[in-house]
Amino acid sequence: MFDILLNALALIADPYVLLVVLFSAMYGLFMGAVPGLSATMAVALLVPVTFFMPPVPAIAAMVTATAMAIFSGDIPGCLLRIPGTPSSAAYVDEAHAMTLKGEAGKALGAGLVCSVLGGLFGTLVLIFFAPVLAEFALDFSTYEYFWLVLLGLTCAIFIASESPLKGFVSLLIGLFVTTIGMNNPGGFPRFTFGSGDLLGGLSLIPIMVGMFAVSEVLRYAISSAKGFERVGSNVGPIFSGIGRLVVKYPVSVLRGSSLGVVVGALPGAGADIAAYISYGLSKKFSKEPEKFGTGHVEGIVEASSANNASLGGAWIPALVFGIPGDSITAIVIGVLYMKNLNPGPTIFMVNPVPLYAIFLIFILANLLMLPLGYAAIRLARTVLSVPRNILMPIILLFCLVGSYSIQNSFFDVGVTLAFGLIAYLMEENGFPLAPTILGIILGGMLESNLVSSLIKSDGHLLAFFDRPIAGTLGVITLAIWIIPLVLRLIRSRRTA
Amino acid sequence: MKVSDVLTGLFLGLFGLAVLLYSQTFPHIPGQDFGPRAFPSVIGVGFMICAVLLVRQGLARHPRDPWLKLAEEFRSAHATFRFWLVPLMVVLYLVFIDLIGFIILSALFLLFFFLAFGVRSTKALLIAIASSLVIFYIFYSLLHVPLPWGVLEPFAW
Repeated sequence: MFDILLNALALIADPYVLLVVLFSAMYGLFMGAVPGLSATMAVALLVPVTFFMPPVPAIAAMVTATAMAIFSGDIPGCLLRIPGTPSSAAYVDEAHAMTLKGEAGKALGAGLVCSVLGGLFGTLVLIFFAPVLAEFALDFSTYEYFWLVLLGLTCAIFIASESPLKGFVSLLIGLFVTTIGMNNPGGFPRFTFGSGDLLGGLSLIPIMVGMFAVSEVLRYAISSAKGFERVGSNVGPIFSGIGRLVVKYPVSVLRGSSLGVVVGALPGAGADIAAYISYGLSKKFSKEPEKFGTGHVEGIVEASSANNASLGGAWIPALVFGIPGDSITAIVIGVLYMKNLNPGPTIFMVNPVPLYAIFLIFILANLLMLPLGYAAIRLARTVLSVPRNILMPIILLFCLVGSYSIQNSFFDVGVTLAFGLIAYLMEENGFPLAPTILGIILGGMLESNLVSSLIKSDGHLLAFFDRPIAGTLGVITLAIWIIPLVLRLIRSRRTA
Repeated sequence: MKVSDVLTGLFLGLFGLAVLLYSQTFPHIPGQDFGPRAFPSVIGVGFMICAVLLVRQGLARHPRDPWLKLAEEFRSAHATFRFWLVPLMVVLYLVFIDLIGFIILSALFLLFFFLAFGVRSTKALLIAIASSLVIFYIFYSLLHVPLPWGVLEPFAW
């Protein structure tokens, strides 16, 4: 164990890796702070650049950029009442109310310190829990994997979407996308209509760039927004009194972080949902709930711990099962495969050194957040005055080049555009994007485990419940589907 | 653009039916009951179930909603133009990229958007050229992506 850590340390002590971390930190802070550019988009646009790097710096860039972006989304939320990323939306009114009271520094300082604490908490859980889970998962067969994937997809529908029906449609779209091409049990080209480009299926990165970046450019183009209002006067002292705050609300930090890890680990639900739930919990359990909404720091403490903690949590199912915990890890899984770090329960035995190097990067990135985040708050006025009418076209061009560069294929650029339009239309009509992404990642796994399980059992469905773990997972999955229906039936009987 | 649940449902229902029917043309693997057609068939049926539920929900909750409604933003001709400019320019970009080459076409691409989004013309021209060159340098020289030179082929390095 000790020599693994030492080797991992040697991997990240490389000046090249450290430089990559520093640059991606600044990149992440910028992407998070500019409204309309999200953490997921930041990672999707990083992929083409990291494509040519060795595995550790490539993953390090993504880890660092996301941690920073989730924090810096707080900055415009606090100063302008516009969340920089969806993850800050939960407490944007609260933070802005503090700004109006002249406490912007306190709000951002609390957000920064709690982001660091939450991020470190999530990392520790990841480091200690993932290997244990992996050992447990070693003797999983196709039945367990089938139920696990189905349970993950079920979570995405019922937890991550306002309307489960629309979430389900969104999931089916993702699953359908994975059936295109020859990657299926029979090796038969499905839905290719004779096109050679479709034989290999649609690739993930162009789809993600389209859904998370091009759709945002479209949304900017249609909104008539020109720029933001100028950021007001000085934010004031940032770190003064922060120590006292953390001592005053230790339960909030801990509860926010724990909830963040759990929500992060649930497939389909990420930092934004973690922040919403923990802001609500904080209000519910607070001794002074009447102060919420008037510029009270307690909810910010809890929710900003939660959204950063969720990042580490999302990596747990991603590494152990290849099931992404949020849309960011969905991209990361794609990159892990490209870098021959295939996720799965054996990853801790096959590739421990790069893996622990990545864990160390997690810690490093969270520590680095303190000074860099401080600088970002101080520079907020400059960052927020970047003209979006110049930024957005450049991002669009970057999307085109980025999706081309993965396979040097202009067909992929067309895929990016198509999914940008689809994602725009879906979001306009209340269809969540996360289930689609999850469907695309997990569709192949779901199908191969379903089909090989069916073949093994000669079509007997009861075999899916024969093994103890598979049976438990199966019952849980079915219960999530059936219980709401039964409850609704009972309720409608009563009213009738 | 707001599409009503009823119209979405009808569309998804037809799509699901098409997927289901088309899947039945996939070959059968001899001696096995479950081959390439099983999974797409399930998806097709799933779409059709959702379609029915969506139509029912749409009729129950918003029976008078129009099937298609333009979002508020599309009422402005200028905003509509800016929106459609994105797909239009991307398609044109794909058509002409091999002929004209990355550097010139990207600069033109950016220039068009800058002007449409209201950047002053000299500033727009300078930033368009500079960004195109920087992105070309990053991807072509540093990341070795074979971006096409097009008409600038004689100057290729």
